[in-house]
Amino acid sequence: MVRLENVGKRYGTDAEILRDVSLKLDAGGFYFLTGVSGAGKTTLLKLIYLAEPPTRGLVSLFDTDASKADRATHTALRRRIGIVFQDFRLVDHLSVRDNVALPLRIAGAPEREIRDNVPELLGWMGLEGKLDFPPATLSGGEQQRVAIARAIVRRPDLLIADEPTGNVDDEIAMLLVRVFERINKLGTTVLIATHDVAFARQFSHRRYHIDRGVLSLASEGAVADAAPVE
Amino acid sequence: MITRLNLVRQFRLDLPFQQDASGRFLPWIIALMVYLAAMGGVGLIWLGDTLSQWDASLASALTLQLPADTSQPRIDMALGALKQTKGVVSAHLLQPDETTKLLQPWLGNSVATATLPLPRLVDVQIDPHATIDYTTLRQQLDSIIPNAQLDNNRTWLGGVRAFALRIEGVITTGVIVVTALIVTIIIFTARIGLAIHRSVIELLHLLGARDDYIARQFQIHALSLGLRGGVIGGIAAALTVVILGPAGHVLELPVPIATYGIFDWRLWLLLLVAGLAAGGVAMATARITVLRQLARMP
Repeated sequence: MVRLENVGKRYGTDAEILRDVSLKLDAGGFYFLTGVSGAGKTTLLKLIYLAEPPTRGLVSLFDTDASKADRATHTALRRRIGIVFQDFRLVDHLSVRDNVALPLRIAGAPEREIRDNVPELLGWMGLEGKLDFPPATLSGGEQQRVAIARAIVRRPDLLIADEPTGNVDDEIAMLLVRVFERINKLGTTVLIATHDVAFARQFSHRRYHIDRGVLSLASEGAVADAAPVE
Repeated sequence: MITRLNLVRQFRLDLPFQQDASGRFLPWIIALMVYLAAMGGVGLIWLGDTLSQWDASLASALTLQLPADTSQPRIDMALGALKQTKGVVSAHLLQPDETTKLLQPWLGNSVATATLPLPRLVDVQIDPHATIDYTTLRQQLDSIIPNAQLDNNRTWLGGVRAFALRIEGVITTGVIVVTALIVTIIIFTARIGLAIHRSVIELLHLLGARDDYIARQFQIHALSLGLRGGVIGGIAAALTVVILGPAGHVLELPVPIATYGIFDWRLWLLLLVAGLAAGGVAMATARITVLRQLARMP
């Protein structure tokens, strides 16, 4: 599903942030990506969700070489990915409902589908009373749930979450991972980036670790992942 | 119901344009431009009407000027020659008091015109569609009355027409300049908008939005601002004409648009076109600008 081979990334003439990164994520898998702040986690995620191109190497998504793909193909690939940003990146002037509906509207989904599915999903996320609130009026935890709802509303093939547990206590963090596991059970491949190695170790999922731009497999994991989506 | 929902979706803007300063000043700038363009258009109509009127009145009239001392038999012969010419409808010899009346605006009442050697004038009405051989007619009249002058007004009208064409050129250039200014302003506004909303645009891209989806947001916003400016400018131009119309009537200007004022359908068509064009130009410019800029983004 996701394949990176000998990927390097540098900005301008600075030293490489990512060095010879090779990574393979299978369909239906659940993965952690750990590393301290500045190790290159977010940069690696940006390459995967096509926010930036690699300086060298191969980035392949859903069996498509992204570095050779045109703009339209990039758009089509992005539509198969759900992203939970570290800073949530909710659109301030839109309501919670419209923020979550955004990926559906962009994809041209019928309004009836949006009207039915978005409130149901937000209800599942415990936000049924906040549908018409602007994001700025919500707590950090609520905003994070809105961001997760937006990322999964289109049932993506790949869900990427950048530090979703960074600003919440252990109990909430555990609940969030359980939510991601439920999404994974539905067939979505999940990749969670966190600086908290100890936290990731509590779960028996495959874990990659990145240190100063060099990626390594830290743990094979023991939990049986969801079956690949048919 | 479905149509209404589609419309709602069509005009829902994901970008917070309402927070932009451009939404406050741009309609007024466009309104000024539309006002200037519309008044230029009114000027073109005015010029065209005036020329047509003069053309119509002068194309069917000739003036024969005879020396003051011409004898009555020769005058009668000249009138006879005129009336026998194909295409001449009538030939009317102006009496001295009629000639004096024509000169009153220049000479006033105090001058004793009877003592002046005023030429005799013949007002000749012709069929405007007829082809008259002026060279032969002039030779014929000259053989009857040496120094008789037949004036078909073409030379004078040609000069006026050339002058009017130059004015039309200036007005048309003005309208083009105004349109170019609107295009330039929209280009800069769209670029500023792209810079201001860059983070949201990046987000929309990452959520799978095509360039066309984002460009549509800008073009709807630009259309809204352009139409708002168009309506304001159009109303201002209409008010100007409505106010100037009666003034033109009082001054007895030979201008149909001044005479008819708000009842002239061309005025409303012009204002409608100017308003819609402002919206259309703004929309198209925003779309092209945004698509070009987005193509440079990753």
